[in-house]
Amino acid sequence: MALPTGIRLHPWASSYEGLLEGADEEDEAPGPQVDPGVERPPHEWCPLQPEAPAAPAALLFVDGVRRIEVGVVAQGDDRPAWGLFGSYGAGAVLCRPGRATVMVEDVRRALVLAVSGQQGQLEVPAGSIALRYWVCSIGEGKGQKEVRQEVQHRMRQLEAEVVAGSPARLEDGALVVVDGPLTFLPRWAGQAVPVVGLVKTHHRRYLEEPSLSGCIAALAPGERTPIFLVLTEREADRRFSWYVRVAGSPPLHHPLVGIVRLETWAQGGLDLARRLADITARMLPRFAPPGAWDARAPANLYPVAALEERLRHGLGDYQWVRRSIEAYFYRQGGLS
Amino acid sequence: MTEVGRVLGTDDARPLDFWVAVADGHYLQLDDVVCTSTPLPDGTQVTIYGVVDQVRARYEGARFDSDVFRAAEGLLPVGIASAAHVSVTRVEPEVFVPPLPGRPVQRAQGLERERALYFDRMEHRFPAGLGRDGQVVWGNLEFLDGTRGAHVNIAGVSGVATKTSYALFLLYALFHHPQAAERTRRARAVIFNVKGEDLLFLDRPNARLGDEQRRRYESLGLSAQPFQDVALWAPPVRHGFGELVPSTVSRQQGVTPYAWSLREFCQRRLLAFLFADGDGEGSQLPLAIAAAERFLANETESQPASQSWVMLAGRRVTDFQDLVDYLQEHRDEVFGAARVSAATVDALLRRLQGSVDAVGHLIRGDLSPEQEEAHRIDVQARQLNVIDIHSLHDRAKRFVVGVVLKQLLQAKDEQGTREPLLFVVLDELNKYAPREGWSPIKEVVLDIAERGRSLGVILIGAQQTASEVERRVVTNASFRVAGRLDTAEAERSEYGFLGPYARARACILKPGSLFLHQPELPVPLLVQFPFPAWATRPEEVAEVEDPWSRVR
Repeated sequence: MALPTGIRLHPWASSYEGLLEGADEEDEAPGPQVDPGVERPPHEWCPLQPEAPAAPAALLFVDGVRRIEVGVVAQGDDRPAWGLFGSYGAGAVLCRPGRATVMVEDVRRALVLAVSGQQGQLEVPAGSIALRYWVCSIGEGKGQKEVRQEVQHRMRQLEAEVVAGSPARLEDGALVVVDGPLTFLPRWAGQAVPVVGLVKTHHRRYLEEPSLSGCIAALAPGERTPIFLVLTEREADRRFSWYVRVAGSPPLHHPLVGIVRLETWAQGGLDLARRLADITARMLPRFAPPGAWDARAPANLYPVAALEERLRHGLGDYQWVRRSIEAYFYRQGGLS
Repeated sequence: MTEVGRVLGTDDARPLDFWVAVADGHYLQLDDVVCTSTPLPDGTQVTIYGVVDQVRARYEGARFDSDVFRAAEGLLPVGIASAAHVSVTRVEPEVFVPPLPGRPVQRAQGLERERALYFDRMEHRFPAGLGRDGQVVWGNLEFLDGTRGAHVNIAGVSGVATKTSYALFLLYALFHHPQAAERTRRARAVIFNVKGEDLLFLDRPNARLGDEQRRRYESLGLSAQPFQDVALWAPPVRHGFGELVPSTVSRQQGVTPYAWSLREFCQRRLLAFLFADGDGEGSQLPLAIAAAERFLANETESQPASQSWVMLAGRRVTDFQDLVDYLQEHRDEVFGAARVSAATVDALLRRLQGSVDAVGHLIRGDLSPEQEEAHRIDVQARQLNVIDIHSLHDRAKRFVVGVVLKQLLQAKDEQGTREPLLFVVLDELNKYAPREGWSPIKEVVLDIAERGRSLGVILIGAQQTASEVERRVVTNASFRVAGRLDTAEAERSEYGFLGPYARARACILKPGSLFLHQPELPVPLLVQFPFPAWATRPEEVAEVEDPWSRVR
């Protein structure tokens, strides 16, 4: 299809290199209500050595990336309608003892517009191939934030597809580790396999009580906190969560460096959650890179970091893609 | 043609070299011959041929060297990328554009391989060995027989059985391969045996030749046979009486002793070759030598060919010691006319005196006319002439080599035609044609190197270190061959034809493998040649078994 009429580039709207980081959780937002007493009474909280459960045969790490190539604006009758060219991808790495393999890599592109009724796809020639952008209208009157969130949402959707498609690729007893909280993952994705969400950042404080939060900092590598229940309005959204230290906090670093938070749906039951908590506490430290390896080390685990790099690579060279879109606009020249 | 990969886009592709990303399930190894094509805007397809001279494999997605351990533990997903570097040998048509990244690359087989290595253009050719793919590597005969070039130069450390073995293999191929033999049918070859009595058995089959090696001869289009038409020449026993007896130990049968008569020595001015050890050009010695030669030639000018001794001013001189004594006693007559100092004459006489022991049995006055005829080295009778000099004193070695080459060249000069060709295999060029200094033998070798092409004298020269050999001798060779080289030697500019990768490999070449560079091909090719089908030492001679030996 041709470019929707009246669309203009507005490059300043996209962030540096088009990367969106840390949009998963609100900054410094007060945490939701939790129940810290599901595994142990709050006054008995202390770092726990995981028991030795039967380790899963494999871990499947699922992650996604997204990028804004260039922002656009459609000059409407009275006020501008925002939009963007975005690319996103998701994939999975299967880690078995002795071999880590990238199982899935999927990259898609979208032209998000805050308008109604536009759809189809746009082919932007870029060297040897044509980049295919699905046009998606998210409705009039939406702001730039919502436009950007649409890309995030679509990436999450793609991650969910990867998770949902994963049982076919997994043997029994495999565990799926999704990068980021489960909140954004549609429930249908994790029906057939145990899924945990891995949260690297600690913008949100779940445990306010000093005795509880002190327990997090006191964790040694390979230890975990007792499980707590994250209370939500809807019963189905409730999750069991726990902290694991995957690596010691280096000198002069915040004590939370090296800590990750994990969660799984409460629906699965406390026994399963306890098993998953023990498995993650025992296994994840092996995947934690040393500080020099990655800027987000140690919480950015090897398979996740490698997958992200690969997916980003799959999005295509940023400068090249962006120039192709701009060239496409110039070629369409006279569009009014 | 099998597609093995595609032109890499992450390293520059250039008209003369490019990288190939090797596809999964395929491999490229060093020396593989490949081809690719690239389209021009007008629709023309440019075909680019080349030879793999470097291969590499690496992890993709790994950041640190230590990531290899993480990958092995299953913590980090990585990919493996294999790539091969191709040195371009030929571009058809000659439009020098780089192959475009992404173009498929094939293994060149059959006609494509022939094209890639210019074999299709060789009107007359000879097998120069087998490539590592087991197929024939051809040499262009026109660059060997003098039509467009001549000479072979072989370099390599000793003891790796490469230089002489390859020279012999070349001779065998030139004489016996149907495609080459039609041009070399009447050709002759001379080879000097310098080590042990190794070359005295070239006409005997090799007992250690296995079936696999026989098959390699077959693939070359050759039969695995010893040389058929061989003459063996050896110096006579030093203190013999009557008939001359060859001084060889392991074999006497069929070996002809060689010697020169005193008369010929004087008449043909061979004295200089006793001084062939590279005297400084500033020295007066050459003047004194010339004076002595002139004197001897004048004195013996009219002496009949029926006598091998010489008459000098009424005195009958019958052996070399006599001759030296005569020169000593009559120094004023001999050197009087030449303006040389007494010290120079002393030096000359001292050296002559010193060489009596070395060459006294080779320069004789006791030969009958029939003997003189029989013991004169005649290379025309047989195809391959082995001249044994291994047991001779160094001074005598130089004398024999110098005189033989000089006389061969003279004969060709008189003959005046290039055909039939004469191949001369000469090892230790650094001794006979050193980079520094002058000597009569160096002059002869240089003469062959520079005029041999038009005279039909083809020098197959060899040496351990080309850097120590007169530059013109090496650069005149159309075919340059390098076997295993000393690491430091390989770095010298004489081996520029190898290029950086072959240079490094030259230091680890195995026996029987060498790099061959010929004029049409811009890259050296690794060739291998089969184990000799002829015996190269007494133990290898295949005995014809006596059927009764076990019964008795």
